[in-house]
Amino acid sequence: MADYAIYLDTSKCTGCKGCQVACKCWNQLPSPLGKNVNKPTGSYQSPMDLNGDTRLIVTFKETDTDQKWGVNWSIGRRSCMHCTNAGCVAVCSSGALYKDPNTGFVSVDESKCVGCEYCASACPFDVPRFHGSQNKINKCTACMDRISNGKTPSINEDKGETETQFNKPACVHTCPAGALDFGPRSEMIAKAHERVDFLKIRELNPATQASVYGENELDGLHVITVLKYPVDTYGLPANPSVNPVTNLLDWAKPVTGLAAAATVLGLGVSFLMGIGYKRGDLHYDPQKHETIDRNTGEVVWRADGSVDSHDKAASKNKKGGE
Amino acid sequence: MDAETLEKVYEIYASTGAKDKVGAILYALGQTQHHYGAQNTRSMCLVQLLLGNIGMPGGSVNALRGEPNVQGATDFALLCYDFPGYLKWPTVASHSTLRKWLEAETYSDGFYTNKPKFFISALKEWYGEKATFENDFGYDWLPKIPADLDFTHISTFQHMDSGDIEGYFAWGMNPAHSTANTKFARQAMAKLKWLVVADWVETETATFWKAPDMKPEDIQTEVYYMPAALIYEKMGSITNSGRWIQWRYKALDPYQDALPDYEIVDRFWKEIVRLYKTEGGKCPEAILNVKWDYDGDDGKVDPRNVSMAINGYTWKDGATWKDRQLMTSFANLAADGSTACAMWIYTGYYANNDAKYDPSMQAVGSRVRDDKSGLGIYPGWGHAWPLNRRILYNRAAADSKGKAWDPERKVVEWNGTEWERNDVPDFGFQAAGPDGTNVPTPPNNKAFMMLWEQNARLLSYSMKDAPLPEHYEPFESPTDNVLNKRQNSPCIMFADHPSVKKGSRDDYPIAVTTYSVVEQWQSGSQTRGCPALVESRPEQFVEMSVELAEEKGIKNGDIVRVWNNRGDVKVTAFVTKRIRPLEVNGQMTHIVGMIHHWGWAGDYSTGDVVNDLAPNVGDPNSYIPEYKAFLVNVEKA
Ligand code: SF4
Ligand code: SF4
Ligand code: SF4
Repeated sequence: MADYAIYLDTSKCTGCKGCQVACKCWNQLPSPLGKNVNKPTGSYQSPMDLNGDTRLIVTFKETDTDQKWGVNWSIGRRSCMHCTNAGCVAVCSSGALYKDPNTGFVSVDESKCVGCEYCASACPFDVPRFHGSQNKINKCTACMDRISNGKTPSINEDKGETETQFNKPACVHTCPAGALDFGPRSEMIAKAHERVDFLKIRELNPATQASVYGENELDGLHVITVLKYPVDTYGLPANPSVNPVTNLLDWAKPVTGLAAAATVLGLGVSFLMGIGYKRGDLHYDPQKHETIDRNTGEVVWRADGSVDSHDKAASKNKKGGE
Repeated sequence: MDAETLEKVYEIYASTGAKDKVGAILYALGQTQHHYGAQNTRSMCLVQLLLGNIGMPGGSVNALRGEPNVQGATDFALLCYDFPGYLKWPTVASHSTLRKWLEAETYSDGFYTNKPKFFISALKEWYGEKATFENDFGYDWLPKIPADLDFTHISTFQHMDSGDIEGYFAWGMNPAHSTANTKFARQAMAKLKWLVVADWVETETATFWKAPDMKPEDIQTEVYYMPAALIYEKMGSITNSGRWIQWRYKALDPYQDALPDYEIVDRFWKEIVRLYKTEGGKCPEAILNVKWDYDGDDGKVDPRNVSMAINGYTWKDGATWKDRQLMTSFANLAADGSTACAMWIYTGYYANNDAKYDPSMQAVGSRVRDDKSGLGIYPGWGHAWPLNRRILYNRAAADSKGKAWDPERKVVEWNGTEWERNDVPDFGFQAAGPDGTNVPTPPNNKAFMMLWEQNARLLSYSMKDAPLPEHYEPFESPTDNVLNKRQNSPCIMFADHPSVKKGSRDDYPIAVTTYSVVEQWQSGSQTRGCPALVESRPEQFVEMSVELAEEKGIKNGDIVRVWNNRGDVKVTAFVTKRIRPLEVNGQMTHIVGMIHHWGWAGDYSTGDVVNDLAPNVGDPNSYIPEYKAFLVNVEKA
């Protein structure tokens, strides 16, 4: 079975956040219910980062240009990248995180999660989030419940004909701009290259910086992104890598469940330090619009842009969005 | 904008004035919400006419409506000077009798020579058997708009303030949040004896007396709230800005005791009639002669019967919906009472006599996705009024000899004997010959059949302010009009009303414009009730340049105060390079942008009413208020 991928064309994305909201609705992830409890973010981005109830956010970052008018407005997606070389799966002690053999997506079986949070430390994109009250990790499941539940006939807009496809993830299904797509990974890669070529020949806005992200990173991501502007303006690491120590865990794989957790814990501190294990080390303060490193008390990121050392403060190989 | 960039924009856009190129103008309230907004729209029409971009696929002047209500406002005449189907509502001054209406409104040539057929067929639908040739089809029972009073949106609140209006229905609208100079509107509403609000949720209007600046103990207004069903909780049709009409089905039952608004209207009407019958009242014939036969078998109004009434049918005394013959074209309407049709432009959208109660079998319910033309016409996707015509003025897609300007974009073309057509022609392409069969009409110069002269108008005589657009500054502007000596349009509406309280440049040097974000919708009544949407856009903001923020000591994320003579609000500051100070007539001028979806009502997210700041002055043609440019001052709160 061929690998599948979610496709995002940031040059078509309007930043409507339909995907962000659809993810919450389909996956029944609650939003705050009190009156005026969502604090102002000082940004089009809201909330500012992923959390235990939020698996996908649309990110906004403005970069100054030398043009008389306007800015480069990098509007991106911050969620799981579904890596082939997935650090989170390698360290997962309970088998909760798993690679779906049919599609290559990295999904979650919450019933197995023991809440050890190793995955959060091992992820080069700083994606998995701990849901405190449930003692579970929350991250994008690739909507496995949708895509594995059969195929449905749908209409191919380009060809104008009906074809049978996997059900699409909720975020993809909702995108009104045609920026998101879902299909065989090779097709998504080809589509992304075609789009980048198109962006490069456009006369009015020579988007010479456009690139395809996800084709080779970490042996291939299952989210293929057309980036209109440079990689770093989307808060993405240019060369993501998995900490080599995480692979030490591979020998423990045949042992599953709590036994594995115990085995892993038995490995001792050296392993945890090796992967840079920091339980809930970064904390976003919605009152002050800033992210603090709990270990050092240092502000590592501030909404107004005055501090932006998010990447450095997280473990060396860990990169987040805004 | 600097001259160089502007020249570049002009150059690029003007390059669409070629046979093989088309340019489309998409516009929204940024163009129209000015006291010369209608002339802005005229400017766009002129540009498109001169470049040959009218009637072409991918061309035209395209309104992006904020919501279907706006299309309904003009199609179904929710505006007070209109009669359904772009006809004029009778006025005391010009239309005291049916004869006067027909004489004043019927054109001497072109398609509007048919207006009597449309209007009298509409009267027949209003009054049914009671509408006869002898009584001018009931024309005298229609109320006439008085000459000296105007009931447009802005003046409605002035009439409330002066006590001329004592009761008010706010139906699916939220003026206590949305009206320009909202604070004045709220204070005017406090003088009402009664107020009826029909809406999905308790809006700012339904709770206007709870506004932070109101004193409930001083307000005597009796407020009635009618919970209305959501669009998903009722069946009916919806019309988009491209005139495409689509049937929508009911997905779930209304919440608690909410009702579809047509059922609320129906209940009101039946009760009014009952009271007239039992207690009598003024002008009883205007009420009791109305034909009101839209009930389905369950005794409730059935929107499918209403659709048939809108579509039009052959009149037969004593007939019911089940045996009335629906008609497929308004060409069959007559001015003698033999046809009934509530709104001629929709004729054909619900005309399948074989499946009257199955909307999916009607043109409006069609979901066929074929497009044989390859031009994006999709003739089987819903129905486009009039007569399923997808591109208006499509005669202009071919030259005077009938040859398509661009062979790749062939909408209509004369092949020497007849018109080849990829769309329903918007011109007389055939006419009945002596033997009654249709004979093709060879190309002529009559490309705009809705005008009597049948040519496009570069000079318009139907605009109230001027035949050609002219530049004026906004009512409150940071600069002088240097293009001519007149600062504002001489025809500006309501500028002298004391509530307007014009601000001076010295007090309020900062220009502001207002706009919307996608996460919240209009007054936010619905979207602020969705926690996931609130989370994705939790607060109201004002966007400002780095330079202005520096000048005022404001940091990104600070709460700032924005105020003028009319209002005073607190919102979050977004400091961004997307907004830059402008050099206007040699003066560095600051501009800020604000969103406006908040108010005090709602359970999850509340905020100040930004529309308090906008001036309640209007355009003389459309009466639209000037939300898009006025003056404020800003400081750190
Ligand atoms: S992005 Fe992070 S959470 Fe997602 S598959 Fe890769 S390592 Fe795992
Ligand atoms: S694939 Fe599903 S779970 Fe993942 S971001 Fe999209 S909607 Fe959310
Ligand atoms: S739904 Fe599509 S257009 Fe909207 S933010 Fe998501 S990717 Fe962008």
